[in-house]
Amino acid sequence: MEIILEHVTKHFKDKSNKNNPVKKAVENVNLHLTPGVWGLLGANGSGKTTLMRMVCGIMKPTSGCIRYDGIDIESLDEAYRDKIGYLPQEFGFYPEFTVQQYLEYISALKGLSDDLAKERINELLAKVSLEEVRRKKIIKLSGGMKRRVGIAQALLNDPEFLVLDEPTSGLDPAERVRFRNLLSEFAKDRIVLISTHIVSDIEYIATQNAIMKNGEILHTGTTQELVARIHGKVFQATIPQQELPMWESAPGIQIVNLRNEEDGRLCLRYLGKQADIPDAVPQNPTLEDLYLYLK
Amino acid sequence: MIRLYKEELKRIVRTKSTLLFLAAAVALSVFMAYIPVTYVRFTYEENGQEMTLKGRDALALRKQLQAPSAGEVTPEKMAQGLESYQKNLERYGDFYDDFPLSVHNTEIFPWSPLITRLHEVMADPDTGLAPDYAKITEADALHFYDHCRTRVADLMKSEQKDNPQAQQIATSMYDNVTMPFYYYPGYNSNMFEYEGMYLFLLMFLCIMITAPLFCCEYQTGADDILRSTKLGRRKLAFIKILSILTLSILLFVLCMTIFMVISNSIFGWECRQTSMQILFSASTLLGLNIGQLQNLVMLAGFIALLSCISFALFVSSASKNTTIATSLTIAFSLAPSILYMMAGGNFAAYFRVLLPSGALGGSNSFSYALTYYFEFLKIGPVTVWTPWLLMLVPAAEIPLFLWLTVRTYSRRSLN
Repeated sequence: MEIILEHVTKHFKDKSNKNNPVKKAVENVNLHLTPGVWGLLGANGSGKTTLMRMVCGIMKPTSGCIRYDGIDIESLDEAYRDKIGYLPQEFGFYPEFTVQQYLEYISALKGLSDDLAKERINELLAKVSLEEVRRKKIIKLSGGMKRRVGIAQALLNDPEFLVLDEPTSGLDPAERVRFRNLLSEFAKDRIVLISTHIVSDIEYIATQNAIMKNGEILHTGTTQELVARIHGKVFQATIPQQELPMWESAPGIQIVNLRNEEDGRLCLRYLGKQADIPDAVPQNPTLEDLYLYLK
Repeated sequence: MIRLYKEELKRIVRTKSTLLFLAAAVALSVFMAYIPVTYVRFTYEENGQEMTLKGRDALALRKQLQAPSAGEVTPEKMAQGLESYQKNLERYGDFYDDFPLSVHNTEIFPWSPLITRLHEVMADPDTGLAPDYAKITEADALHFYDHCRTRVADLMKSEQKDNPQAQQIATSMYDNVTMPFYYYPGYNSNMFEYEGMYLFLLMFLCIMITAPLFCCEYQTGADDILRSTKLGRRKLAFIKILSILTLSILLFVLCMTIFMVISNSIFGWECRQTSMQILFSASTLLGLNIGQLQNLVMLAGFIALLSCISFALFVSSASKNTTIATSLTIAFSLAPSILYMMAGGNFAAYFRVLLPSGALGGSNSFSYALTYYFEFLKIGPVTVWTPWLLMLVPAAEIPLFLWLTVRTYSRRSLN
């Protein structure tokens, strides 16, 4: 199973900008998605959501094509949608629905039989720990619980290709861990595409990553391959507090983390071409460092 | 698909606003069917004092007093009524109001539905003015049905001067009117206004239920998830349409059954056999009795309702939010009534019949066009009686709007 994106481009009309009436949301994206968890990293507005909507077939590319096992998803139509599960960034639902009713409705839309729907709903509610609130209206749930309902609906049809747009927003740390474990378990022999700007969500579970900026994919690869790009460019140094403004404005230095030390000094983690700050020590780069480096 | 259909129906019915509108539709059907009888009055004299009966008591007395004219409207009954009227004219004066109440109630009122029609058909062909009652002869009464045919021909000559085709259509339509007429006292022609008003209100309630159907998903963001599912495109659009039509049809059948059972039970089921020509005008072109007319008005209302719902679905599929969809659909649904009040002429008439709600409203409605007016519209070389257009055009618009809805919904946000 594979999903191939070939020269996928999406342009929108931008009526507010008369000088440049075309807004390029996604530009010439080429990706070859294979089973495993894929992290799609990018800042807000980088084109992740547009790309995901196109991958789900909700939106048509302006040019380029998306193939599932070699066949254009547009021609696959219903057969393709039968294989996907999607959780959008904004999880909209009908306010009158309880959790159970909502999942029953979505399972009908996914073409599940009554019996299978019941079985899947019970199974998933247990997995996302929502059994006790199944008869509660979704509108009355906390943000994290709503998100879990969203995750459950995406998994109802046991999809081969799961697309999650910012799935962990609103989840507390324990819920994030549980979610990561759920995904890791689920991702065997399936493609899971997660878009996020929270690097830690995917750092430990993504087998492959794609980094997106201004509608383009800048880099793809495993976490190790990607962070190797900034090997020798991440440092840690301890400085007196009064020096902070100077280093903040210093060219070629990008501070990525600050920590107050007990002696009143500051411990900085920064990106730079060399160890400009005195006594700086090279550090192992993380995906977050890379993300901030590219941002 | 069947499971989705059931789930969609349940979803629509679970919505609070839908429940509220459904309840309002049922409550209004009872209210609108019952309210006309509360306006029925009858004044009579008892021990030298005027007494007024109201509501069902008044109706019962009116029916009892008009019993002599009940049944087949024979020329002999016409003559008998005329004789009674003219006898009292000689005795009490030229004006209706000059009759003593007791005389009016016992000698004029029993025959008044028939005499009124005789008076109508004796109108002057040139001026359209009806003659004095005193000038109508027994022979005129005995030839009532011949005068009816002549009156229609005269009327069409003056109403459709420049359209001989319309005159011909009207004459041949009237040739098919069943004669003799029948009359059963009690029924009030105002009931058709209430039926029309109720259909108009029902249309609004159905629009309020329908308009959010697609656009509320765009508004809440639920749409993205639905579209990414196996059946979430054309099939979902189709199921949504089917669900709302099922609900509307069931609501219509329930409410109109309630309305008809209540109103006919109050006024008397036998009144359904009364000829339209006695209740409204002797020149009414269709040969229907009140029961058939009730059914035809219901059918026209049903078609218009479905057309409005289809239009609301299309607007909903193309709108970004519920308020816009509801307001726009309501504005279009009110347009025929407003056009009728504000603008006359052919352009307004054509535009009115083109709108989905053309048959619903007040004086622009199907029942008015059917009973009081002689309006014909020319479409190229063909002349068509307006009531038929008020049924045919919305009927043709139903599949058009439904097709547009499926197309708009399926394509939405793809580009």
